[in-house]
Amino acid sequence: MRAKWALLFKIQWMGLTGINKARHAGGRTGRRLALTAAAVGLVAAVLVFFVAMLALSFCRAGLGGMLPAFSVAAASLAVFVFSLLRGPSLLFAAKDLDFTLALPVTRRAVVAARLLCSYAVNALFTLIVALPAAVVYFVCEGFSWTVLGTLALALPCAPLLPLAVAAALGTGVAALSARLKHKNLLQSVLGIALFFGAMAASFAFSFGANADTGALYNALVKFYPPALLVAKTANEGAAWGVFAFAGASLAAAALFVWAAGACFTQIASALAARAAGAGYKRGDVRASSAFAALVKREFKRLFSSSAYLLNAAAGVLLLLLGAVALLFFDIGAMAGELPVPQRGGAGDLFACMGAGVMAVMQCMSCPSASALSLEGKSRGLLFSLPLSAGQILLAKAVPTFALDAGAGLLFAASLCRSCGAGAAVWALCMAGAVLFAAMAAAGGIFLNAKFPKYDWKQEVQVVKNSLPVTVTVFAGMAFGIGVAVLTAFAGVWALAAACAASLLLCALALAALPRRALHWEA
Amino acid sequence: MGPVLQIENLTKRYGKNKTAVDGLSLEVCAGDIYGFIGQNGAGKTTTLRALAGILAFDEGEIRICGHSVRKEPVKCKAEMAYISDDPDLYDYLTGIQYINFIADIFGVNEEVRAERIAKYAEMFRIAGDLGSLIGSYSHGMKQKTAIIGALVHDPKLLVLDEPFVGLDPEAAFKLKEVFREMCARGAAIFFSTHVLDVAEKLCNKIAIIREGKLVANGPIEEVRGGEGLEAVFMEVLGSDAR
Repeated sequence: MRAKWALLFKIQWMGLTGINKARHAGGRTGRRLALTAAAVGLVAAVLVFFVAMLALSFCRAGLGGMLPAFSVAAASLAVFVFSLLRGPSLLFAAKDLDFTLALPVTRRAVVAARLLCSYAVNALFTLIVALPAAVVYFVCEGFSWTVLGTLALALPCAPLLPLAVAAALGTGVAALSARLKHKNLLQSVLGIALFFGAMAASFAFSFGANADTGALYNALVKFYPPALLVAKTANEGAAWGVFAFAGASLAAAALFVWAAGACFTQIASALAARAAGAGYKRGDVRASSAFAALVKREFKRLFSSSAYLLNAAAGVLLLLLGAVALLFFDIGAMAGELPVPQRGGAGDLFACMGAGVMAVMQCMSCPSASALSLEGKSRGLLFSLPLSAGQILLAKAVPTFALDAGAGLLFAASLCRSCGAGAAVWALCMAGAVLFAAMAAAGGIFLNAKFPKYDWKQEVQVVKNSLPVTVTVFAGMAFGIGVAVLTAFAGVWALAAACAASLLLCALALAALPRRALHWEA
Repeated sequence: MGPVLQIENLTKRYGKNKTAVDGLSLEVCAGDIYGFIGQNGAGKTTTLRALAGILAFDEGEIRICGHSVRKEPVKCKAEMAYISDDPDLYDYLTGIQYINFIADIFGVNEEVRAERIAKYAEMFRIAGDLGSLIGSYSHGMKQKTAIIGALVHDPKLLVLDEPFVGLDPEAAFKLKEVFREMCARGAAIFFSTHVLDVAEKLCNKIAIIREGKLVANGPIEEVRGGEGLEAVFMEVLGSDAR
């Protein structure tokens, strides 16, 4: 008989991947899954290419020997940051929590199954990051059985430690906030604080590394010391290193399962308990227009879920931090001495390139790409109201536009001031802040209306892992990086073209939205 | 005066092999309390969802107050209210915020909504909880909140899927009173139920559906034909339409 944690894992894995549904539903569901798999495959291919290029740069710098430990450290850090973004939802957000808790299984089996589900996804990611680096290593540095053995043992274990630490932090946040009235908001704030703490620390090390590959390696392994154990075996042949790494990773996961299992029911019960018994006042009954009511409801939805808010706010907060940081830098003066053969000089050029970075951050924060899917089982309620599809979908795009445009305008103003940009670049950056936000909002809701996923069990399945979110974020990144690169050659004209392109894309997406009605079947 | 709800030859298929509703036709007139009964999986919820404009259908036509659900869905929905069998309301809103939201969507003015909310909240004994998040409600409290949301805009047609499930006896009694009151004012009620006793005592018309097809339909006295509704129901399950 199979262990209960394995049975729980199997059920959750089938729900997470949708494989079982595609097998039994067939037809459109199967095609949709195939499309999602193709999109994920495309993102993986881009990632593989990026990692291979980075690994080649290590080898050219004569640092190829550092690749095994570097790839483990980089993958582990990415796992840590992404798991931290999930916060308390990693263990407690599943809709089947009550059902699972009622089963005759130990709490530790429940925790182990949930951790294993996250581990499986992160292990795939680790392989995508580490395998290209390993191939480049073997091609450039020559094949080595020691390194192969080290990677074979280290890679499967690599996600365990960062996942366990991130899950422990998320569980801690859940435990601390469980009995508070505004726990969802508090969890979001604490999660964002943890996320930015991790980002700030990583930036601090990156700045310390001064963009040099050797220093980057030192910074990374300093930030993630367990990778040094991998280096001990791969570079020095000390077998104990990789065994110690594997042991520490397994111990961390086991410790987390043991500790979280002990308090799982208490935290889950406290999270489920909500204060009832509050009446209402006459002042609570206020009228507004149908569209305003829809928009208000969208904002309430955004702030009701830590996973949704964390994914929606990451780019916006980075923009705000960037805007504040730029107040203390005079990029115009620093760049003034560079020989830039363009009208307006280096200041204008850096402002235009910065607008590309702004577009990346804005597309990173795109709640509209999952807003419709989040209606889930309660979508019938919304679809039965006397509202056109256009009204519903436009209202769902408003939070994305408002947050991205607001943060974008602040960033653009701070950037242009810091760069000492001319009037034309000022105007284009400000227009870009609004147009890029509009493009992200319209593109996100268009994709979500085209590929809704209503049958989720955990919000994170749609706010982080769904096809519309993946496409919006990566297409936005490609767009923003494209703008930054093209402005380096064509300056202000490239930014003007990007603004025009985003206006066109936004108009196309809005024109293609379904108009008449939304229906239950996706 | 024309029928409030007119269903003509409604057909809904899931995939190639499963026909959930097969050529269903019926009319609900102002003042009707129309019960819709059938076994699990007979096609009741599919029919109700199709007429609420939530589910697209393959053939036929549904008209609400003369408007086509297919061509004028917004106009149709403005005349009706639909309550599903599982009141999956928005857990992140309080009860009063939810009802306010529905009233905003239907454009109910502040004075009227305040009066109706107060009336129905007292009637269903939920006024003391409307300031709490819906996530903290029991199934019955969610059902009551959904009912108040449906009544706040005084619809001409009220469509309900198993409305009495989860309600306490007093609330169920009050809901039946509300049905009668609405029908006396010229509205119509169309609801599905498994409780034959309720259907028998409350409805003036009954439709029985089996495997997607209507097998009995009309005024309750005609459908019953001197027998109890339970006997008729068991009989039609084993035979074709009467």
